[in-house]
Amino acid sequence: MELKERTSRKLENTIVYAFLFIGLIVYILPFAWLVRSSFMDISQIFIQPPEWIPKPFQWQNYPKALTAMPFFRYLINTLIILISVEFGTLLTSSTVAFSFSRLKWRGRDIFFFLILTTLMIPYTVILIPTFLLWKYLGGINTFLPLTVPAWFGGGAFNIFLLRQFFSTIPYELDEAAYLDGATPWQVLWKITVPLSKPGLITVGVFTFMGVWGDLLGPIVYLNDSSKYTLAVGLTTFMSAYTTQWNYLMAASTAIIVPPIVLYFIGQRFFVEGIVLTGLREG
Amino acid sequence: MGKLQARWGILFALPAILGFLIWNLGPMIASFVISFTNWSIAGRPSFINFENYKKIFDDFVFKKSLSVTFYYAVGSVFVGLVVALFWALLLNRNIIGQALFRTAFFLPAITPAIASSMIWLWLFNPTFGLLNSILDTLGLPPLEWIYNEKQVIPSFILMSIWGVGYTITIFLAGLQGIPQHLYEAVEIDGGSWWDKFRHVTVPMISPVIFFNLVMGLIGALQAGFAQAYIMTRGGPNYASMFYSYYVYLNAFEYGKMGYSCALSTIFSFMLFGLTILVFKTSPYWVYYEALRK
Amino acid sequence: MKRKTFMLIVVWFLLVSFVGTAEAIDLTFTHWGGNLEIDAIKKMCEKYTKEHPGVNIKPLFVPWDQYVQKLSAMISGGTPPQVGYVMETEALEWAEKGVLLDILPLIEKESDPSVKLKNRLRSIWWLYGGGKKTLGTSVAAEVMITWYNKEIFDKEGVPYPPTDPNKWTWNQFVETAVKLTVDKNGKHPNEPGFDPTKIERFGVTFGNWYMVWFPFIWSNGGDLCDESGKIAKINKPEAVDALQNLCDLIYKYHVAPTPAQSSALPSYSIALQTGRVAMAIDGQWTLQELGQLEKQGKLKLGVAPLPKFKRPVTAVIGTPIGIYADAVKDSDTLKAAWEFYKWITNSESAIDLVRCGLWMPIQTWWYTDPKYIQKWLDPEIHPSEYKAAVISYAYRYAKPAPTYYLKNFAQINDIMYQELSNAFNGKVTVQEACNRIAEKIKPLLVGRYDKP
Repeated sequence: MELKERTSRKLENTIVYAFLFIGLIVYILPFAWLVRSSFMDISQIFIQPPEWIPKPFQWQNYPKALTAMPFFRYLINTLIILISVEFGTLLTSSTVAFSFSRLKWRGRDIFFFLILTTLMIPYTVILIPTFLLWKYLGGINTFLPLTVPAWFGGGAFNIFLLRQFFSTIPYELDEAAYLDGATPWQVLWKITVPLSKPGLITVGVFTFMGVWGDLLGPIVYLNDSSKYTLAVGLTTFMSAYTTQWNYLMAASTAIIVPPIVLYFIGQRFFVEGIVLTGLREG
Repeated sequence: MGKLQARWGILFALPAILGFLIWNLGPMIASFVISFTNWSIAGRPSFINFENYKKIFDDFVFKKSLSVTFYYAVGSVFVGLVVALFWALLLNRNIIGQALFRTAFFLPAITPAIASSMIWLWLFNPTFGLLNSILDTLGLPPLEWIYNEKQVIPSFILMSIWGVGYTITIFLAGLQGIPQHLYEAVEIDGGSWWDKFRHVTVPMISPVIFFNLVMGLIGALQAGFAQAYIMTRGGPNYASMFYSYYVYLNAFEYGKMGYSCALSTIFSFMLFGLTILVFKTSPYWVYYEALRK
Repeated sequence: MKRKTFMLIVVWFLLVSFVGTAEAIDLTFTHWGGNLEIDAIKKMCEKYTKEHPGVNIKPLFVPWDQYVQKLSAMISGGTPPQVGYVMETEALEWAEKGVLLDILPLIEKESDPSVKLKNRLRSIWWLYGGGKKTLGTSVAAEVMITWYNKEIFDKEGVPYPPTDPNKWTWNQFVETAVKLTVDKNGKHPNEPGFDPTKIERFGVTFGNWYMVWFPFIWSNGGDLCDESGKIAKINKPEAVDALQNLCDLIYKYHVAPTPAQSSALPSYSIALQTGRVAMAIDGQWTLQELGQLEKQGKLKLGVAPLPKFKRPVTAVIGTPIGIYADAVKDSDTLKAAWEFYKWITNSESAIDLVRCGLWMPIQTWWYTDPKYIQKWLDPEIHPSEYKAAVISYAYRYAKPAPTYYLKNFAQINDIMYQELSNAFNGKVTVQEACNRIAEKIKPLLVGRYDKP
């Protein structure tokens, strides 16, 4: 019995690792191509079949790419926007999602659906009306259009996501707290949020990605190239007729390092069992 | 208690409601109104009533675009959900190098579009591409991938498998909320991994599956812009003329913003309908621990 | 002591804010481009600002992919730039609607010769209002030509293409390409045992877009439509034959790659330099990249006109720069914008971009006056035959692409692209594709901007 169990477990594990290794190679391929190109001379990047070792190693692609645009200035701009958006999103989307999942009020589901509809309008036709709205509010050439909306719920995607996550937590916890005289605000921050770390980290990481890669927003609302963000800086390597592939690859690699590190750290909190254990027995 | 909850409920939801009224409602109404004009950004718009909508009925690109987009959406959402859940389950296990594996699977989703498009142009290349080389070693005939009008959408569906990093992450997060004792209960009853999966995992993460399904559909139906813009220009023979790309072309390249808004309005109504439908099915298969009804 | 210093500082600030800003006019100049262009324009704007006190030019870089969206937003918001690039697909439409200024009245009152109608290449004026108005010219006059790698010609013992556009015939061109195409076993397409699936080096490569289609259609005596811009002629034999010949390069003579194969060579310069192709039909602007390779000693570059069917002709294209009407309502601003416009569209000001091969100049004396030609040519970049093969060729035989005059061209172009890609992918004959094009563009052929 024991032996059978052990061998079947070993087989299971081998299969799992096999799949993961194949998946690893398949999924890391684009990134590997990106990195090896970032160290190559343009002429070597597109040789067919592709070569994977740069000959010679063009280390200077990096300093050249990063000095070709005002890198640090763009980085600061991006960080300013990022910090505001992260705070606004995490704070308000938690609050709103709590309302849509753990509080009951008339018209709740209608408003929820209304907010969802914001995801169903193609950006192309919303672009100019929204721009005109901001012009009227005096937000053109400031970071306001890029940060303020985050403080108003953080967007339907995040609200919907957290609503789903929040709704997996048993209501008995809330009830017990209310019986003890807690307010919904306290329940949200003392009970729901601590139990929703994976969901909140997901929102945090995704929001980071969104700000980091947002291209159209900064371009449309800013009129000073000194206010541009990193994503816009990347486009200086592409023109209508030619692209400086080696610098573009180097800059792209440099720019996605922070998101990768963030994800690497964040996923550490995705560990089963730290959320709920033995609640039924209680 | 109910009244108190109601007041707190509205208060908490206020940021989003206000946000909707301020940032979203106006522009949405504006784009709806513009669809009844012949505005082209330059100059003043004038009302032409239902002219745009009448033209849409005769527009062969509109019809082609709609079918192409739905084809892609259905294919990529279902393939995506299955693949993402598969990887999430594997990545949820206690494996060595878990952090590295998880990050690796997320990488393609954050690689800038221009870089990943180049890689895919190489992968899809009929002469030198990796995919055809693989087919060759397996003794299979080469394909034309994105250069063939029948193969281009399946090619993009294949490509979407690389982009499931976000979906995997959401599934992973959802898997964390499953209490261990439920699995133990199945084990005690002599159940296998399939029983655990069917009776514990799936119901417990059904709220998250629901999210990925809805967002997946909404997202996939509006996707394809980058692929069309960078890789295929909507071809060959309109076979990759994604709807979002056609909306963009009309607004910003053909100078037909009014028509573009009409296209967009029709599409949005379709999306509303589809989403309502999916929501209506949710009581049958989505299990919420605590969604206050 | 502290109080006095404080007061002095305050007064100083007040003075500066009065004097410093009272007279200066801010002009925003929007543009796109790669690194080189961005830097060059930045320097030009700084130079102009320094030499013209009272005017402050603010260059605003907007990536090409987002340019039309950004400008559309600015225009609808009523705050467009004073001067800026204009997307070719929108230029005439915007001009007709009054977004761009008609500068003809300004030109007529002007004494500076560099902006006069007859002193700029005739083919690059953007005319509208039945031909009575203009928004200006392209900032550069880019033509299509044949680039080639001299080393490959030498290796195969093939004589270089002639620089006289009358002598470079299509048949000669095909023969040359055949001699330069080799497969993995070193065989040419006209030799037995040639394997078209294993081609090492293509004789020629070209892109599938309107700047390639039109010169050859015109050279064969055909056109997209008639002079009025209302009747399709794309399915007539002259046009179809020209395009069929292009297609034959791929499928009959095997000297050119299929669109799928050429997508593996995203850059013609690299393809030429590494010997994957011997000739490339491309725009003059590629010289910017090719020149760099020459300087590094990696490429022996040659240039020739386009091969002709019946008569020599090439297409010209170039980004227009316009003055945006809503931003220059004030007469002082208009004056400042006009002065800047004249300066920036005077190719002399952009000499760096001309010499590096990115821009071809637009004043006629650059093509006729040896002094200017010498200023233009950089011996390290421009091949020795450039003067005959490009300068004289462009001056005499360049015809404006339909973007310069045809209404709805953006949409027509997309239709042409979709249908012709079926032909170039070998799925349908060119005649079939052109028939479908003629059918689909019927409702779009509504006339020209430059004709009443």
